[in-house]
Amino acid sequence: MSKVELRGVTKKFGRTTAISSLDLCVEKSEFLSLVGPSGCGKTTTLRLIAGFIRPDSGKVLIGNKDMNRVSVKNRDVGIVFQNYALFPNMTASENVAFGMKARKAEQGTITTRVTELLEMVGLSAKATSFPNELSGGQQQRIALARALAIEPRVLLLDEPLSALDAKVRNTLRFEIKRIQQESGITTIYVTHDQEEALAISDRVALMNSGRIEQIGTPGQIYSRPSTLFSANFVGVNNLIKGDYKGNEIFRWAGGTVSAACSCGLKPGRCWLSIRPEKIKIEKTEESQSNSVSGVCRGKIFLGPLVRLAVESYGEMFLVDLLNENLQEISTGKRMDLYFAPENTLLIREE
Amino acid sequence: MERRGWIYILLLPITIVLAVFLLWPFVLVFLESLFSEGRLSLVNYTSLFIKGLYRESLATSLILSFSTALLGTLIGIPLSYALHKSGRKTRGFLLSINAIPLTFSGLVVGFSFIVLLGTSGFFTLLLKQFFGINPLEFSAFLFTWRGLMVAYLYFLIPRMILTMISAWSNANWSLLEAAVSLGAGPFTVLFKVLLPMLGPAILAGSSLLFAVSMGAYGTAFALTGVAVKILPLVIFTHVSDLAADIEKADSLAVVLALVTTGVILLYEQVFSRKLVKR
Amino acid sequence: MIKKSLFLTVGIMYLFFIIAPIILMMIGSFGEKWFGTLLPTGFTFEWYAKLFSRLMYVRAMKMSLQVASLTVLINAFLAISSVYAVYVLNKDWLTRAFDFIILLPIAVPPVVMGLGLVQAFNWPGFSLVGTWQLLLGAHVIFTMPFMLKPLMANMELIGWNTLEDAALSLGASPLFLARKVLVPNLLPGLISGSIMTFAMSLGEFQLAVMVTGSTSQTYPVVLYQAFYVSTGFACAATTLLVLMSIVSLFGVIGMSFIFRTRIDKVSLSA
Ligand SMILES: Nc1ncnc2c1ncn2[C@@H]1O[C@H](COP(=O)(O)OP(=O)(O)OP(=O)(O)O)[C@@H](O)[C@H]1O
Ligand SMILES: [Mg+2]
Repeated sequence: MSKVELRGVTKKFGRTTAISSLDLCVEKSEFLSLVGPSGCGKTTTLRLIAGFIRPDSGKVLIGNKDMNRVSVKNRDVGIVFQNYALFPNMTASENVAFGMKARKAEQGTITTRVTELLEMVGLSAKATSFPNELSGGQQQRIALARALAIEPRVLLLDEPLSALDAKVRNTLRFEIKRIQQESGITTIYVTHDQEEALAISDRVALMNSGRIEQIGTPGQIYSRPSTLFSANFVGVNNLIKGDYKGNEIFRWAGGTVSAACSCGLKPGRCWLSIRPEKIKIEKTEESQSNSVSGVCRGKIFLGPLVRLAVESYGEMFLVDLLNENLQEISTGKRMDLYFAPENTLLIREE
Repeated sequence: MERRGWIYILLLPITIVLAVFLLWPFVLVFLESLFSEGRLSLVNYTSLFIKGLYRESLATSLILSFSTALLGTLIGIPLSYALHKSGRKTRGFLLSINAIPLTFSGLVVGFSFIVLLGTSGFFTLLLKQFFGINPLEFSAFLFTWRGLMVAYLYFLIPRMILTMISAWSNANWSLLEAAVSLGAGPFTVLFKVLLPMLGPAILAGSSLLFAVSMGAYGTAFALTGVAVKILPLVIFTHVSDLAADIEKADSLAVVLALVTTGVILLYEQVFSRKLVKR
Repeated sequence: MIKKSLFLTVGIMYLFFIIAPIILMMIGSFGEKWFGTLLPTGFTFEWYAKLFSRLMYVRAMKMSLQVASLTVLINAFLAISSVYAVYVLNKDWLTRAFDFIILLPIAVPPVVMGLGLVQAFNWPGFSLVGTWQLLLGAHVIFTMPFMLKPLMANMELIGWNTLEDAALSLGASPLFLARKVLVPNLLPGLISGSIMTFAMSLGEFQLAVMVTGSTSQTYPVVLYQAFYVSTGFACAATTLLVLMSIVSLFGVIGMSFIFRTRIDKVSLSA
C-alpha cells in the first residue's frame, strides 16, 4: 500500500522513445487506469515500475523511496499479465504459493494464505488443477491470487482481461475492483478499453505516444477532455473544426452555434466537441433555440438507442436518441439539431 | 536490457566446446592445407585438379549428391503429402517411423541393403525366383555409385519428409481454394500459388539432402569398401593410411566443407527467412 | 474417402520401405544358416550368445553406452544454458548464429571434423587421439543440434519471457527460477532431445572410426568387423544396435503419454 511516483521518466529503445519525461503520481490505495492506443507506452510504464527495465533518466519512487537501485525481486510489486503467465508445471495452489516459497515463508503460513486467497477468488475447488485444465477466466483469477500472495505494495495489471470474452470480462472486472477495494492496495491497471477504465477506476490517465495526455476522474475525462486527443479517444464524440469568434460563438462553413466553457480561449481556429447523446432534435430548456439545420443521412439501431448521422453545412454529426417514436425519421429528412451550450466544449487547435 | 549483461556468460560453455572441438580443428585443417613439404604453397589445391583420383572423387560426389537430392526431393514431396493427409494419429506414428533411419549410422544402412539387394539378398533372390533374373548381374549395381544412390535414399527421404511436413501444415490452403474459385487454370495454380507457397521448403529440403549426401561416407564404406571413390571416403583413406600425405586430405576437406557449408547457408537463408517467421 | 485410403496406403507402403530391411535383419539374426535362400533356415540364438560372449563387442557396447550417456549429460547442460541465454537476450545475430550451429554437423561433415580432430589433438609425446574423451568431444558437437532444437521449440512453446517476469516479480532468485520453473518446463524438450542425442551417439560410426583407438572402440566400429564374420552374426550385431535406436525413439512417444505436455510439439527434426 504505497504511493507510486514517476518523475520525469524517459525510456528509449534504440531510436524509438517509448516514454518521454513522464510524470505520474498514484496515491496510496488508489485505483488508476492507464489507457491509450497500442504502442503508446503503457506496458513500458508498468515494466519501469516493476523494475524489469530502468529509466534512461528520471526516477521511479515507490512509497517515496527511489527504486533505481532496487531489483525486481525487492520491489514488492505484484503483476498480472495479459496471457496469465501461470507456471504450467504447477497446480493452481502451487502457483499461488510460488512467491511465498521463493521468499522462504513458513509452510504453515503458506498453506493458510493460499487457502484464503483461493477462496477470495472463488476457486477453492480448483486448487489441484493445472493451468491447462482451467478456463481463461479461472487462470486469470489464479494469476491475481498469485500476485496478491506476496502482499505487494503495488499491484500492476497489464490488460488482464483482454484475452477473455465479453461476459467473463464484465464479471471479472468488478471482481478485481472489489478485491482492490477490500485490500486497499495501490493499483495500476492498463487497458485499451476506455469503457472499462471509466467503469472501475478512481482516476484515469490517458496516454499518448509516451506521455500522459490527461489525468482525472472518469467523469472529468469523459465530459471535460482537455485535448483533441482525449476528446477523440474516449467514447464517441463529434468533433467539428471551425472558428471561435469570441462571445461564445463558434462558426464553421455556414453553421453557427453558441458554445460554453471557452474560458481563456482566444478567437481563432478551434474544435467544437459534443457527445452524440447531448444533441437533441427538439428544442429543450437548456438549448433554447441554439441550433443548426441539417439533413438525415443514415440511421442505425443500437438497442435502446438510435444513432442518426446528420449532415449540417458539410459536417456529419452523430446523434444518439432514445428509441421512441422515431419511425418517421428516415434518410433525407430535414431536421434541426439543438445544442445546450454547457454540453459543448471548445478545444484549441494544436 | 541493462540487468541482463551477465547472461552472456551462459553462452561461454557452448562457445568453448565449439571452439575447441570444431573451430580450432577446422582452422588447423585449413592452415595445413596451405603447406606442402613444410612450405607455404597452393600445391595441394592445384593437385586436386591435376591428380585423377581427386578430380574424379569430386565429380563422383557431386553427381551422386545431385542425383540423390533430386530423386529424394521428387519422391519425398508426394510421400510427405500422403503423410500429411493420412490423419492425425497415423501421422504421428508414421513420423516416428520416419525418424528411425535418421539415427542409424551409415554402416547399418549399408549392411541392410546388402541383406536386401546383395548377391544373395532377399529381394535379389525374389527376382530370381519369379523372373529368372541373374542375382550376380542384378546385384552388381549395388556396389557402384548407383547402388549408393538407392541406399542413400533410405536416410535422405525421411529428411525431405520432415522438411516438407511443416510446409504442408503451414500452407495456406484457402489461397489455393480462392485461386481455383476465381477460375485459375492448373498452370496458374501451380506457378502462382503452389510453387511460391512450397518452393522455399522444397529448395531448403533438396539443399539439405545435397549437403548430407555430400558429407556421408559410412554407407559407402560398408557397401563398397573404398571401391567407389567419393570425396569423404578419399579423405578417410588418407587418414587411415599413414603413408598418405595428410595435407592433400586437408585440402580435400576444405573443398568438401566449402561445398557443404555453401549449400547449408543457402538452406538456412531460404528456410529461416521464408518458413519460420519469428 | 477413396483419397484418404490412398494416402493411407502410400503411407503404409513407405513404412514398409523403412522397416523391411530392419525386419529382414532381425529374421537373419535368428537364422542358423542364410546362404542362397530367400530366408534363413533353422532357428538359433547362437549368434546372440556369440555376440555377448565376445569381449570385444561387450567392451565396445559399454564404451558406446558410456560415451552416449556423457554426451547427453554434457549436451543437456550446454543446451539449457545457451538456449536460455539466446532466448532471453533475443538478439538477432545470436538467433542467426544459433540457427547456424544447429546446421553445423551437416555443414562440416564428420570426415572433415574427424580429420581436424586427429590433427589438432595429436601433439608429440602426448596425444588425445585414440581416447574416448576425444570421441566424447566429437559426439557432443555432432549431436548438439538434436538437443538444441527441441529445447528452443520448447522455450517458444511455453512463452518463457513472461514466465520469467512473473517469477522474478514474485521474488524468485535465479537459482530458484532455474530449478522450479525453467528445468521443469523444459522437461519435454529435454527428454526428447536426450533420447535423440543418445541414439545418435550410440550409432555414430564416421567420427568414431577416425578418432578412437583399439582401447576406445565403440560398438559401431567393431560392428564393421562383424560384417566379415558371418551373415547371421552380422545380423545379430546390427540388430542389437538398431533395436537400441528404435527403443530410444519410441521412448519419446511413451514419454509423451507420461508427461502432460505434448512432447511431439517440441520433438525434433533435423
Ligand atoms: N523491448 C523493446 N525493444 C524495443 N522496442 C520496444 C520494446 N518494448 C517496447 N518497445 C516500443 O516502445 C513503444 C511502447 O511499447 P509498449 O509495449 O509500452 O506499448 P503499449 O502501450 O503497451 O502497447 P499495447 O497496447 O500494444 O500493449 C512501442 O513503440 C514499442 O515498439
Ligand atoms: Mg502492452
